[in-house]
Amino acid sequence: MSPTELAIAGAAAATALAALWLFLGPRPKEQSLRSASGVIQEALITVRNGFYPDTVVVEAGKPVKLLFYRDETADQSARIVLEGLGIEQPLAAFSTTVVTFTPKETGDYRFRGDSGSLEGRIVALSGREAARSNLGRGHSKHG
Amino acid sequence: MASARLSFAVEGMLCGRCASTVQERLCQEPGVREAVVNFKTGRATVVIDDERTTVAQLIRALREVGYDSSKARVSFEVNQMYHSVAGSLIERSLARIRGVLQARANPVTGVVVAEYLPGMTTLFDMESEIRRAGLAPDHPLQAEGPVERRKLRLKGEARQAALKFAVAAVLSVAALVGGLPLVEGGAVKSQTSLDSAPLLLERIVGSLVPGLFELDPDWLRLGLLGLTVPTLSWCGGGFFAHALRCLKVRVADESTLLALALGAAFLYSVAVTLALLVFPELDAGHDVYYGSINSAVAIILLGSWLEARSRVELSDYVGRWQQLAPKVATVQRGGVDADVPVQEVIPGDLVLVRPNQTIPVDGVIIEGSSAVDESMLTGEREPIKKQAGDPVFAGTANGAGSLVLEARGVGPHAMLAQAASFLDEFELGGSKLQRLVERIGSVLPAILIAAALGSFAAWVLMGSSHPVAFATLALASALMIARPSLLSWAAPTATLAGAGRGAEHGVLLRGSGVVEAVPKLDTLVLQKTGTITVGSPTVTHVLGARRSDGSVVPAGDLLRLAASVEARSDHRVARAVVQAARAKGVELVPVERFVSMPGRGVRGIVGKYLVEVISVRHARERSLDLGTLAPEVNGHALRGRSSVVVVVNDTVQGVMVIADPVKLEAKEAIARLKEMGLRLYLLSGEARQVATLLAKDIGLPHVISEVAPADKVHEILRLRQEGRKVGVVGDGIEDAGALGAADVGFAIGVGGEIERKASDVTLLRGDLRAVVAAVELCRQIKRRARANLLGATAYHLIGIPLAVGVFYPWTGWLMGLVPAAAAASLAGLVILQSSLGLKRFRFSAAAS
Repeated sequence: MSPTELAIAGAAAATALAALWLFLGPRPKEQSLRSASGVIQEALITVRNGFYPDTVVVEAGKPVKLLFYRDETADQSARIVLEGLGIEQPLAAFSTTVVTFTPKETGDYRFRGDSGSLEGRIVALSGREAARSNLGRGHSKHG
Repeated sequence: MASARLSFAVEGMLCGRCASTVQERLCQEPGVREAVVNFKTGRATVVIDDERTTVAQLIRALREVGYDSSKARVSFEVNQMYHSVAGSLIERSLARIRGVLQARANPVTGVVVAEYLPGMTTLFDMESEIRRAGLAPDHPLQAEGPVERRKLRLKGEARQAALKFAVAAVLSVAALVGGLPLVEGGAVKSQTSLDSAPLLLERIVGSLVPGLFELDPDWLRLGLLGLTVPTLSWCGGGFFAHALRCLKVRVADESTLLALALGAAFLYSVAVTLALLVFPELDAGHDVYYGSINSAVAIILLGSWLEARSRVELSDYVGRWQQLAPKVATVQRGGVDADVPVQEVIPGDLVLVRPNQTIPVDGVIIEGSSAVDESMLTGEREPIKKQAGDPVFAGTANGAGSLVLEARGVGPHAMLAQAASFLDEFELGGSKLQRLVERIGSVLPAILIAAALGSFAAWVLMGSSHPVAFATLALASALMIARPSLLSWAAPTATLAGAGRGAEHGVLLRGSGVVEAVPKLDTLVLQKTGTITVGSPTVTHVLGARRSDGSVVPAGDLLRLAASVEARSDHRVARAVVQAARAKGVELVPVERFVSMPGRGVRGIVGKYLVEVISVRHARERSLDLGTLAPEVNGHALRGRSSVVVVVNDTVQGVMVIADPVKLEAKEAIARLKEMGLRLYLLSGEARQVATLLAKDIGLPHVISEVAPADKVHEILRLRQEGRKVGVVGDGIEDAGALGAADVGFAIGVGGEIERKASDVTLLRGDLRAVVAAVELCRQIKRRARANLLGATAYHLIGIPLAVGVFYPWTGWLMGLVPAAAAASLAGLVILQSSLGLKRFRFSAAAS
């Protein structure tokens, strides 16, 4: 066994360990959590013979950004109308149209397609933090 | 009053009782007409009066009882995810983002679905995280519907793989021929590798191109290097580009293995080429692998091409339902027939269906009769005779008759659209085994790289005549043969193909969780009405009570009073009573203060009388005297007929005998279900005597009778608490709760949209044979998925040791680059074809 071969084998073994560390080793913490402050409330709604999802729950008083992806060419979805908010916008086929607004009051804000055959609603509520902290209480009541 | 049907997520449900609690709370809200909550899908489907309530109000009600509905859902199509084992890494990366509740990556469809809280994170954050995992979200193609889009994407990939394969094949033939003169001196290759060029080929080429063997070997090597550069940079360039992207984010996947294998063989060959140029006195035994590299790339691309074609086939098979519905309907408006796009048909429109046309919308026949072929929805081979009053469904084929329909289900509410969305939204993954396998698949490439480098070091140290050459070949072969992604999609492809086969037979499975759950069932609860019986009861006898003066209450009077009250109810028995009255020409009278008493009957004020139509059980609970009618009621019960009692001002005035015949195929299907080892129960609200008799007649060993609709859920939960895995088969809105409370809910018959949403398995055919089919199919899918997984595991356990040369010291076997590439390609194809084999799954006679 020559020193060159020894060196090659050693290098290969070291590379094997390095590969294990590289791919499976610990990762820097910075990849994990992100700041939540001031993030806009976003939802992607696919429009194809209906709205999917047709119900989006948001927090009242905070800005909402709806991304309507119109996944069809049918006339029924050529425009989007958000009732009570005075928003009416054309939807281009196979494109995403962004609609932003801030629901000031709690309640249902309906949106519909041009012909009225497609319907959905934005549900604005308050007190999400309290509801999240109560999550699971329903189950614990009956065990 | 305007009503709306909506569906929203319910968070915090941990058991069937949670779903029951939420459902009860929603039903208490004023303005809620119907509410069904499914624990397994985590969704509530409600029908509300828009003027009386809002969804905001319903969610507040949910929050009051400790549940919530704040999450949103988003999906990303990810480029070439099935080449990658990074799916579970994506899931973990996304789950680390604050505000992301859950993420699932589907290796078969290449779709990542994330649930998140709006306002806590953005879609951009999630996209960035997918890029961090070495993959790129794909821009959706412009095509109608996800099936068409997926098909286009897969076809595009197949075309590209075919083109690259063609170029690589030409270059590999050139490299193989050009490398022949070097084989003679290639000691390593000819003695140790399984991919040595046959001597016969050498002789043929020698006779065809005699000058080839006279060329300077150094120039030959340089020429082969020139041929290999375009193969690696263009044909196989995708592997390197993807591997580099992965490396940047510290991820290894299948492309990393391929890039390392090809890179190691190429770098070694270049080093030998240059060394022999500079130092001609070096041992000529050092061979180059240009021919093998070219051939390996060609074979991998051939495998990719064939795999892509199989994926197109799978996608076509699963998505073919979306192509069934016609685009145009002929609508009669204002006395004029007009062809309009199907989307513009509104419920209530009269739709004309000509002979041999495909029916464009769901509806009820108003005029005409015809034989309708519903095989595309239900698997039923024989066309079904349909006439006025019968329902028909979009996508089914009209026979020789002409029909006029009243449109009922259009757009997303049509049965076909919902069946298609079942498959479109088919949820893959989720089982513990699948998650474990994906987890193993995600760390396997890194372990393989380390193991291959370790074996390289070992072979160098163990020494042979050309240790580095031998070790390089072993290293490259080991990396080339590994296909960790097989583990990721061995089971999902089988599940998806099986779901497609089920849809063909009228069995719609909600997701892979259901496919896992059905074979585990040990108990099946069959609701009586509509499941075992036809579900359309008829009044066979009207028996008046004997008055104190000896006269008998006239049947006509009984029918008039009973039908007038029952006309306000939508119950099956009520419909039977009303139908009987109409058949006799009895005129109904106005009713005031109508009250429905679930499980007991109905009551209302007719003139100055309080009229009640109640069950025999309820009459006995109230100690009402049936008098001379009691023996008659018992006699009919012994013949399997149930009775309802007509009570006027707390006095029994008569009984009506109701018969609901057993479905013809029920006995055979029940026998088969018993044969399959399932413990069968009959669940009925009827009197014990009637239910027991029916159960005995059709071979059902266990009976749960006299159960009010509201108590059915508790009976199912009781069975589950005994440790049983319970499936429930039912139809009708009153069964929706029991379906949701079971481990697996089978909604039999076409039912309504709300029942379909509550069920895990929707059986479009209205008989028990479909239940047999569902159980048989799920068991077969599970077997096939396991066989695939076992095959993929065995492939690695045998292939990798063979490739690294574990057997070499005893057998002289060492797999070369080309056989390793061929084995990897073949393994992928075998798994895909094995899954596609489910297309041909044959149901037993009792299921078809």
